[in-house]
Amino acid sequence: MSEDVHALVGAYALGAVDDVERLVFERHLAQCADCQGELPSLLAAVAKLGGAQLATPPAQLRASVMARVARTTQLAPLTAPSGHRRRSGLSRVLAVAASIAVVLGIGGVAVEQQRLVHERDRSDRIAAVASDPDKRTRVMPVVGGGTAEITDAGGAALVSLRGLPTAPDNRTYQLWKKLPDDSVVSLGVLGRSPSKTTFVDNLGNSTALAVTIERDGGADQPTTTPTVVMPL
Amino acid sequence: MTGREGSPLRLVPDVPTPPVTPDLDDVLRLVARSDEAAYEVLYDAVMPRVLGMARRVLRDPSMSEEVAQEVLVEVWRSATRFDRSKGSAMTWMLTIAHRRAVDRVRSEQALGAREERVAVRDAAAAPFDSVAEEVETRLEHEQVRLCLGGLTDLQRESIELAYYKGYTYKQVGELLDVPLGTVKARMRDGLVRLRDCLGVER
Repeated sequence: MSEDVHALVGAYALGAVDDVERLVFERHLAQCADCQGELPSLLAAVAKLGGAQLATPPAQLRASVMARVARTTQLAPLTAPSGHRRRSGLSRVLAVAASIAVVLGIGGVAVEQQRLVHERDRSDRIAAVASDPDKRTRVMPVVGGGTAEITDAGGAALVSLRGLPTAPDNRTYQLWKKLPDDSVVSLGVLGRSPSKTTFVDNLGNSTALAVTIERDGGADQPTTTPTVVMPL
Repeated sequence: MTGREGSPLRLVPDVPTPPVTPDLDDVLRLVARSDEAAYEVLYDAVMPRVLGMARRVLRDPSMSEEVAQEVLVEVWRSATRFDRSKGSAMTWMLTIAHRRAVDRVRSEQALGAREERVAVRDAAAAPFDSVAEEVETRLEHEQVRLCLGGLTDLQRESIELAYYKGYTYKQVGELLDVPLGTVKARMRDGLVRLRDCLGVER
C-alpha cells in the first residue's frame, strides 16, 4: 500500500489524480522525506511543459484582474517556519489561526479557528476513509442514467456520482440519510449536475444514503422517489 | 526641442534600455507583503505564460481567460504561501495555473459540454511584445519538444494525455489499455527523464 502511494508522485506532479487521491498523496507527502525530495524537480519539469507558450493578454483582462485584486484579501503568512514537519494537525492549525487573529482582531479568532480546524480535520478524515483497509466500496446504477459509487469506513463515506443527467431547470439533486426509525435527514443539495465527490460523516447508525431530485434550494423531506439508494 | 512645462530639456536622445527581467522570486515576496506595484510587475511577467498554458489545455479563448484571471487572483491571495525551498516562483504559479485549468477541463467534461463545444484551434498567438521574449519562448518550446521526443511512446503519451487533456492516471490507463501500475511508473520515469533533459533547477 505504501509502495502504491510513492508511485503516485509522477501522476500527482502532472495533476493526474482525482480529488481524493490528491488528499491521500498530500497526507503521505507530509510524512515522506523521499517524496518531498523528489517532487519539486518533477513539478519544475511539468511547469516547463506548460510555460513554453505565450499568449498576449487582452488589455481588459489586466483591468479585470486589478479590480478583483483590489478587493481580495491576502492570506496571512504562516507562523511556523517552512520546511518543518507538521507536528500535529491541530498545533499547525492553531499557529495559522494565531497569525490570522493578529490581522482580524480578537473577535475573528474563534470563527477562523473553528473554520480552520474544520477544514484540516475534514481533509484528514477524507484521506482516512480512502486509506482505511476495512473500507467497503460499492457501485450501483442510478435511475435515469449514471452510477453512484460509495466508499464507507468508520462512520463516514465518500459518495461519487458520475454521468447523471442534468436536473431540469429549477430542480436540484439532494442527498439524504435514512435512520433506523425510517426518518430521513437532508445532507444537502448537490446541484443540477453533481460531479464532485461528496464527503459525509457522522453517519452513526444510518441505514442508507439516498439521492432524489427536488426543487431548487432543496426540500425539507424528499418529495420524489430516490434515483438511487445506497444501503450502509 | 522644448520639453513640456516644468520638465528639463533633453540634450541627449534617450538610449533604449533592454527590458530587465525581474527576479520573480523577489517580486513575489514583495507581493506577499501586499505591494501592489510589485503585483503589476508580476502580472506583466507571468500572465502571458499562464494564458498560453490555459489556452493549450482549454482551447476555448474565453474559458482560458476566465481561468487565467482566477489564477492571477489566487496568486495575489496566497502569495504568502510561496515557499522558495519547494521550487521557483514561476513553477509555483504555473502549477496553480495547470491545476485550475485541469479542474475546469474536468468539470466541463462532467457537464458533457466538451463534446458539444466546437474545438477552437489555437489561433496563432498575437504578436509578442518583444523580439527577445519571442526568441526565448521559441527556444524553450523547441527544448520541450526535443526532450519529449526523447521519451518512450508510452512515457510521452501518458504525460501528454495527463498534462494537456487533464486525464487522471486511471483514465490514461483505460485510454491506452495499460495497467495502472505501469501508467504511474511511466509518468514518473518519463518526468524524471524530461527533467534531466531540460536541466531544470529547483
